[in-house]
Amino acid sequence: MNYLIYVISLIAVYGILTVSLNLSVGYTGILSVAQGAFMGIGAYAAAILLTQWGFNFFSSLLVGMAIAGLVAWGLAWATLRLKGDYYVIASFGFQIIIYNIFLNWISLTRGPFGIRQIPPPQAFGFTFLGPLRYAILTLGFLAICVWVARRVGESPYGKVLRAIREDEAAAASIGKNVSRYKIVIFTVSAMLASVGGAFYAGLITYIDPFTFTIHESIFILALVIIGGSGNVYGSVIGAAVLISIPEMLRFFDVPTTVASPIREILYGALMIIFLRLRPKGLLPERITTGVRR
Amino acid sequence: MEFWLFLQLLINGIVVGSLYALLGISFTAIFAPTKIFHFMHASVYVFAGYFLYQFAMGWGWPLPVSILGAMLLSGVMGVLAERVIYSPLRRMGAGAMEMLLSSFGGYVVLQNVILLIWKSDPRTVRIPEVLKNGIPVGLLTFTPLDIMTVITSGVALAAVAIFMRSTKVGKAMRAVENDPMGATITGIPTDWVRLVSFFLGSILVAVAATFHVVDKGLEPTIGVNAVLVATVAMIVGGVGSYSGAALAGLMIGIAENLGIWQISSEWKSTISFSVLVLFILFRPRGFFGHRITRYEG
Repeated sequence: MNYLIYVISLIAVYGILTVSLNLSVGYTGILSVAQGAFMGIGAYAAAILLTQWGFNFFSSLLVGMAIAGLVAWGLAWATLRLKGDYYVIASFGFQIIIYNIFLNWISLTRGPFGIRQIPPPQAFGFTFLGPLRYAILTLGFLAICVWVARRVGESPYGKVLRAIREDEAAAASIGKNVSRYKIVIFTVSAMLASVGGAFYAGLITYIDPFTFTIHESIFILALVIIGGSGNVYGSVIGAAVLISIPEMLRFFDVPTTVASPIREILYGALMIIFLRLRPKGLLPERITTGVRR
Repeated sequence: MEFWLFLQLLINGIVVGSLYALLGISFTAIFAPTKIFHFMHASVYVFAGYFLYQFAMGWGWPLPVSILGAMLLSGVMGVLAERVIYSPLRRMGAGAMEMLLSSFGGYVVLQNVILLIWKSDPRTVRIPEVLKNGIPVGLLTFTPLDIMTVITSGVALAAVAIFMRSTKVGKAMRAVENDPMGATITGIPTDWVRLVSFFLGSILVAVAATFHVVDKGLEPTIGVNAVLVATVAMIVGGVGSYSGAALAGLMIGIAENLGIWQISSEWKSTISFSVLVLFILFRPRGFFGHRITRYEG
């Protein structure tokens, strides 16, 4: 039973991450492979502040968001003037740098040893100890992230984002400041990803640099694509499906050295198959025409 | 003393840089004509290393035969990537983003196939000891392998330059790069040209992989850094310019090694990324500007 609740928490964590990436990839068409890095920033901020500085989980969450937001703003400002593939290269390089920082700034991150025994969140004298309480908290934050993403994505603001995705020049020609929209949405996306990272750290209670590699970024991208890019609920569904199906491998007698490559091959292959046969994903984007009042 | 250290680092930089130059043109050879961001190039690079390991160490083939075999199989992998992953998407009318996402998917699959077949332990490919013994020259040392690396890269770069300028296929690749539609209209078999460019890029990357593996050993994770360097070299050199990519690769190698003077070596990729950001900010068209301008004149 505890295991089931654990899987639900994990789904909620990846739901947050997928929703966050969907804002930049799905709505705005900014393809980024740095989401794992922003997740890592959130996770490390929470882990370091909780274990060494005696911070509260929720204040460390805010600090992580602030750091991720600032870094993302800087990166976006410097590189979002690039189109398409070039931007991807920049985010790819950024992902590798952040990984190198986690790995090599040993005095801060303990490098390859990782950070252990991350304590559970506490608020107003209440400790979110035990899988059930943690799952409820994580699901609550997933709900908040979904709400934020829908407020942003399914509003006139989101329509502009979609316009930028479809045709940047056209969006600019009707007076929209394309770079500013891109920088803002990229920053918001990174901040939400850091929330996902902090909850990841709290759930696993141990983090090391090897979690936050480009593979993690690609995994989150796969969740966005398979769930349905441009649809917030699709992201949650995508995370639920792709986290829970491979977890079932545990019930068969497969050794971990084989099980984890098979799991990854599964999602890599699914990503290719979906792009070929159902590029809109499990829950396709719904575009409302006209203005609803 | 300082001067000798500087010279030694410069030489190391040129050796590493000549491999980076190869990586740069290998990626350009694919990206320029096809406009596909071929992330699976990372896996082809790693696979080339494992093919070499399997032939030379696993089955005891002589080294030159193993290298040729690894190059050939890598070329075939590149061709398969185009046929299996990209060309069906192109026929569907998918855009660059879908191609790239599929490439990520293919990368994940291939990477884990490596883990299933060869496990994640580091591997080495043994070569004659003579090649790795340093030759002292004054206060400097370099190995025969270093010299071979530089010469092989130089020959490969020259060969690519001649191929692009003087052969029919090379010219066709440049035509497809500039104007795929126009190339099709004039009767150039564009699909076939794309296969050639994947084959060429993949055997070039196998050459770079060979030198990396015999010198530093083999792990499943080495591909990502190789592709990062390759793409940075391509952008810094100006997309579509082979000589630009080669020069940029050389420059990144030198910058990384001179950087070690002041900064510890873990931050190598940080240096190459900083080069990229500087270029993006101040010279987004690369060293030589965009090659297209030359055609328009």
